[in-house]
Amino acid sequence: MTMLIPLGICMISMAIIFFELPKLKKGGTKLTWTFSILLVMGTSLNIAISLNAIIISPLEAIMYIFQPVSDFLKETLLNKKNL
Amino acid sequence: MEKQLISSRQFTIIVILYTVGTGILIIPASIALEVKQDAWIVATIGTLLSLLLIKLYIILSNKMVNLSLVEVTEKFLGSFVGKFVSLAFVLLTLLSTGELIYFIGNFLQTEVMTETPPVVFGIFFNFIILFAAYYGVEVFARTLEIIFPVFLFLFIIFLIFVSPQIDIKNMQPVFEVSIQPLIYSILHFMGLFSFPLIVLLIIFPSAINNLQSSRKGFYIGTLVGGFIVTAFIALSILVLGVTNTSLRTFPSYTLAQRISVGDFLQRIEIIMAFMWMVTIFVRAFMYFYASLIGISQILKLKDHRPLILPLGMIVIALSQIVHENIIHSGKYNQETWPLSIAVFSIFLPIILLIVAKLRNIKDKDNKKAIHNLEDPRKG
Repeated sequence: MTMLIPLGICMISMAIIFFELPKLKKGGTKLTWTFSILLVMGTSLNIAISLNAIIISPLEAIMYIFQPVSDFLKETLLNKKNL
Repeated sequence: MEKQLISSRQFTIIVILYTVGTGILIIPASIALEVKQDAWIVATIGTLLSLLLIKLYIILSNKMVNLSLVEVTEKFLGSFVGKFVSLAFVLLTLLSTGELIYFIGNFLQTEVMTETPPVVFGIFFNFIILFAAYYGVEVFARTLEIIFPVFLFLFIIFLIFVSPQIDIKNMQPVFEVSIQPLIYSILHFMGLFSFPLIVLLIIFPSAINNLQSSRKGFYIGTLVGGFIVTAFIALSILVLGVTNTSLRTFPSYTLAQRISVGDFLQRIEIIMAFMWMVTIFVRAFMYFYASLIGISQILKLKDHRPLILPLGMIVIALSQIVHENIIHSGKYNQETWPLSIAVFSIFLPIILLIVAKLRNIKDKDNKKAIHNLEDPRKG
């Protein structure tokens, strides 16, 4: 049962490739490369999530970058200390 | 790819629904927590300040002619820096698309179908977005022309049916808030309400057939959208009270549950939920379309349509991991999101304008106006 979902995701990716083949042949190499990279990213992300391998949010990176500014704003304007 | 054009009326409708966006569901609770019963003042000031922001975008759009934001960034800032900035922009819009899909899944799971995993709603909702993206912005705009009267009708019905339950005591005392939380709240409100309008510059000068009236439409759309959001915030506080509003996840939905006309017209909140579906759909589509067009313009691809399905898969994946729970999402939307979008919506246009001034790039408005006179399809 655990392997069923990743298998399904792979099937969906195959279907997408099959569906887009005629357009990709016309589109040139750059389009094919972009398409492949995005598809591999999407498939691997989905499989990783279905196996519960990802526990950290990608937004954490953005939050980390803006942490000093947002803390400063909070302390000066709302008078709240971040615990 | 044939060029797609939208009329100024369609653009105004897009602006209205886009500004209302997610705010209608998420803003009331968090702002009531910050400034108590004066939340409607924040919304009013925020709406008026947004007009200044639009002034900035329109000044920028005069220099853009037929280019989108991504192309202009590359043209003004040079190939390397421009590509880097555009890539960051595309990443942010893609993450936000995932976030909106998370919101819609979360909303439906919390309020409507409690046993269904949110990803199911996400997949179905994503299908609509991909479908719209496949047909492009013109078909999308025409669709909204059909949906918008329904949206307005529901909004007016909502106002009429909820108003008997208003208790003016909930609003008092007025102007109790001190100046510092007010500033913080205005930043927070504008971060969800008008900073994301920068995304519309992907379509604003380049896909519009009548620029002159579209500029007016930009202002009008923002004012109407601001009015709708302000009405929702004010009604939430007037009917539910400050404490109840700030404790709910979706106060507007609770408000719709309160509708009761003569004890026979009740429980119509799910019809009202159509409004939130429409606004979130518009915003999610615009983010998705911006990232799609952004990627294809960074890499200078001729046809962007094959990229839609792979991006859709990525969005579905992101929608499951962007927020682990509603607390995380609230924290992100209050503290980080206004700042991160402000980098693109305030600093980027100003930097572009300074660079344009230094490089002496003139407004190229006349060419477009002449082109419009020959265009039989008036907006």
